[in-house]
Order: sequence, then structure tokens, then C-alpha cells
Amino acid sequence: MKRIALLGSALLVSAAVLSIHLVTAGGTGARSGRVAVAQTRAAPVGATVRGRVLSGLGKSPAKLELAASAPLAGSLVPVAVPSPDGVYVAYNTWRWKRDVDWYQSLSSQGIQTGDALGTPVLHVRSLGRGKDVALEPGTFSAAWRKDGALAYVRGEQPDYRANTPFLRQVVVRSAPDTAPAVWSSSPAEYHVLGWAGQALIVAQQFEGESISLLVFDGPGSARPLAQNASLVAISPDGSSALVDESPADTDAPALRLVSVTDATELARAPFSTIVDPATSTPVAWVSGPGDWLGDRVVASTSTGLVVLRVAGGRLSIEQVLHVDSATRPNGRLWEPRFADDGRTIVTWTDLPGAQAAQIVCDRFALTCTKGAAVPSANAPRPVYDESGGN
Amino acid sequence: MSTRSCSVLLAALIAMFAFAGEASATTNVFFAFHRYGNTNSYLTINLQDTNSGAIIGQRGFRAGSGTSTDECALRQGWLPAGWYDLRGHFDYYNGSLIKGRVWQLSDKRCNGGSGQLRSELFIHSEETSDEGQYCPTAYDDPFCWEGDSDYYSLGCIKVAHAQPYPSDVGRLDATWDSWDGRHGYFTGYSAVFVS
Repeated sequence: MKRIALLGSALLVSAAVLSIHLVTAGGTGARSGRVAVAQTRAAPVGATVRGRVLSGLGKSPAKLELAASAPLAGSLVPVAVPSPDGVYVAYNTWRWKRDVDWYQSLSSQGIQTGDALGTPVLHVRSLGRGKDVALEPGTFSAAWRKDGALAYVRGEQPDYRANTPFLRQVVVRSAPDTAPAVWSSSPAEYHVLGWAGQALIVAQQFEGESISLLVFDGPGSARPLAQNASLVAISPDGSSALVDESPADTDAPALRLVSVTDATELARAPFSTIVDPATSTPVAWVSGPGDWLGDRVVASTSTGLVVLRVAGGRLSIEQVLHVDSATRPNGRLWEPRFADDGRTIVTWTDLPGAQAAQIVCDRFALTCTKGAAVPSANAPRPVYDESGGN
Repeated sequence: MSTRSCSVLLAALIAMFAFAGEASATTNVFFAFHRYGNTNSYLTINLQDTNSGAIIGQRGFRAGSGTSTDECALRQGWLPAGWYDLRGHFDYYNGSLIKGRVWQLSDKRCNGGSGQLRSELFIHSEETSDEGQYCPTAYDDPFCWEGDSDYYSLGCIKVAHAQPYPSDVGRLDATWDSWDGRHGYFTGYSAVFVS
């Protein structure tokens, strides 16, 4: 019996050694490194919106009423957000009132402070029937609650006016076709980021582009979540949020895992501990929006991507990926998302000449493919919702 | 950027500024911000003869902007390239996060107009509303110039409030007062160029 046990142990050890070897040789394990990027002609991966083309959510691509665009929110929030039941997609649109050459000064084009320049309007499209409904003028930045409630912001005035803060309220509809209820007690520069269960996480922007995070528990009931921080991702169960600090605000910036319930810090990963494998120096910044799948989070960094593990209230760095193009001006990787396998990361980047391309990475093989360059207005942006919890 | 390319840029600036003029009937004041890195860029204030286009006075300062070099990144990227209007200048600005001597810039959409709208940005330093220093902790205080890491910003252009005095922000302000002198809200037409 003892001999059988010894043989069993030996077999177990051999199997373990063999599996470690296979993991390494086969590229099925996560390790940090510089990724090789190759060009591809393949169609964009995953649920994306490119201008007016929505793909990856139905059997065939759909043509939206208007191009998805959110210049007031940029990539702080998704440009299109699917409902949890898969019935709707809410998407941001923008209509300019006049042409603007943004490289020139506004005054040289006869534009004065206060002149109306454009109008954001949130649309809700039924994926099955193709019905497209425009919500109130002045609306953008949406997130769906698990029960189908839709949160977004609505401007005090419908138009963005030159050099004038676009003040807005946070509003919630219990369903897309019900009347909106105002949740904020006063207008401010809010961005709706996502639901964490029944709590709504909102960014408030201040002068100088400072951002602080708030939690709305209901109408008129807001509390701070994190000051001088932006959201990376919300945990799938909605109990916690990963936020990033800026090197401009603190001399020891970090990723912070905070409790949505009471804003306490659960764990912390200083940027100084996230070391780029190609340069052996810490990354300068880590930033959202990222993606939280299972117990892993992916976020953009100053030199590429980082994958973290969140387990047992601890935050650990699993993998740091160096992508050469991400270190160049206007080359950062935007809105990285895991594919369902947790191995593939889908992201996109701006390219010179006002163009953009999707980048799809195999994080085990340390390879990426870069899709065809398209005009920035048609950047292949992912369709997602940061919301978590029931 | 080499000295030669700086000269070429300056020549282009001179040519493009032929139409502008606010400081007096014959002179114009403008800023030029040359982006090299987040903490080591260069800001000049220039006095231009509007008749000839010649730069007749110039002061330069180390300056910083953003924490990344992606101009489309809200709260992170350096100031987008292009021309800006000045919206005003204040000696004792008392915002919640920006205080003291400031020049407010017009809005700008990044990447030549294809991306994020950047707004409420300033040229400023880290000082109190009365142009002093408030350094209550051993860490990074928002209204205290501790060192080079203070050149980082969320997007604004920052110049130093560091000894020996007058500091860079002090000399920049004194130059502005001497060459232009406007305070409060006004429109400085095409008064800032970012390259």
C-alpha cells in the first residue's frame, strides 16, 4: 500500500512538472513581457460600434440612426451600452450646430464664449425590432441596472456652449419608456459610470479636469466614494470598485480597491510596484476604464496593459504587458476588455492622421494583432457596461 | 525639438499672428507652449510688434502638462495641440483646486477635433489664492510647490512657484503685467499656441 502511495505521489509530481512545462511552452500561462504586434485584415472582434455600425450583438451588423459619439465624455464612459437582458443598446450621439476647426482658436472662427456648438442626445435602440428612440436633448453617459433601469445625465440646457461648463443632472428611468427621475440634488459636471448593485457610481468633474467619484443610493442621496480618483472597474458582484489615482494629485499614486458600501480602502497597489518588463521601471500611470472578469481586472498603463488579480480582499499584479505603440504620443490603449476566455484582451488605439484601430492581444502568447486603420470618427469602440451586482 | 525647428516654429507663429493685437495698438502678447514631456516642456511669453510681426521680447520657463502624452485623455493627457483663446487672467484666483496667478484657456477638442473635449484648463502653479504657499504635510500638498513632480498636472500648463523668488510664476505674471496688463475676464484672441 505504501509503495502504491509513493508511486501515486511520484506520478502526481511528474504530472505537475509536466503541466508546468506545457503551460510555459504552450503559451497558456500569464507572464509579463513585451508583446509583438502584427497587422491583420480581420474584422473587428467582439461587440463594437464604429460610427453608425453596431456589430457583435446580433446576427448581423445594424445601422444606427446616428453615429455613436460622446465628445463631452470621451473614453471616460462607453459610447454604447447594452442592456443586461440583451434587448436594448443605449448609445451616445452628438449633433454639431456648426463646423469647428478645433486646431484653430474659436475666436478666429467667429465663435464667442456661450455660443451653442452642439447637442448630445442619448438614443435607445431595440436590438430585435430595430426601433430607435431618442431621449431628451442634452443627454449622454448611460448605465443599465440589472433590473432594466437606465441611468444617464441630462443637461440643464440641451446644448454645449463654447467655453461654458455643461452642467447636468443625474437621472434614472426605471425602464427606457418610463419618465426620468432626477437623482442629483444640484447640477454639476457628472458622468454616469455604472451601477454597483442598487448603488450608482458617478464621476464629478471639476475645474482643471479633476475628478472625484460619488455613490448615489437614490434620489438626493449622494456620498463620496473616492476623491481625486477615477474608475477602473466595478466588481462583478457590485461590492467594490477599483479606482486609480493620478501622479498629479499624489506623490505615491496607486490603484485602490474600495468598498462601495462605505468607501473604505480594501487593498492598494502602488504604481511603483507595477514594473514594465521591457524597461524595468515602474509605469507612470494606470487608468480606466478597464474590465473586471471573474477575479481579474485589465487596465491601460503608460506602457501598455496590466492584469491584476483581486482575491480574498487582496490586489496582486498578475501580468504587465509592454506595447511599444502605447508609449508614443496619442498612442495609449483605450477601454481594454477581456474576451470571455480571459486570455484575449480587446482594446483600441488612436493612430497618426486622425485614425484609429482595434488591437486584439493573446496575453498568454504575448502577441497582438492590429486591425485596419479607420477614421477616428469610426474608431472600433467596445460596447459594454461597467455595472456589476444585482 | 531642435533649435532650428524652434526657430521655424517661431517664424510660423510670427506670420500667423500678424492679424492679432490686444496689448496696445502696436504690440501683441501671446504664449507658446512646446510639448517635450509631461514635466519638462517649455512655455514662452512673447511680445510681438503687430506691424512688422517681429518678436521684440520673450521670456521662457520650464513648464509641465498632464501625466501622459495622449492629448485625448481626460484628466491625464497633456494639453492638445493648436491655437487657444485666453479667457482671462487673475492674480488672486480662488477656485477649489486652482488658485493664485492663473490664465484661463478656451475649450479644445483633441486630436484635431476627433476626440475628447478638453475644458476648464489653465496656466497656473501650486500656490494659494494670495500667491503664497500652504505646505501642511510632508507629502504632496496641492497649494505647495515641493519639486519637479509638481510639474505634473491633470491637463493644465504648470509653471513653478519655487525659490529663488521671484519664482517662475512670479516672473511670468510680472512680464504679463508689463507687456499686456489685462486682468479679469476678457478674450485674448488666439493668444496661446500649443505644439
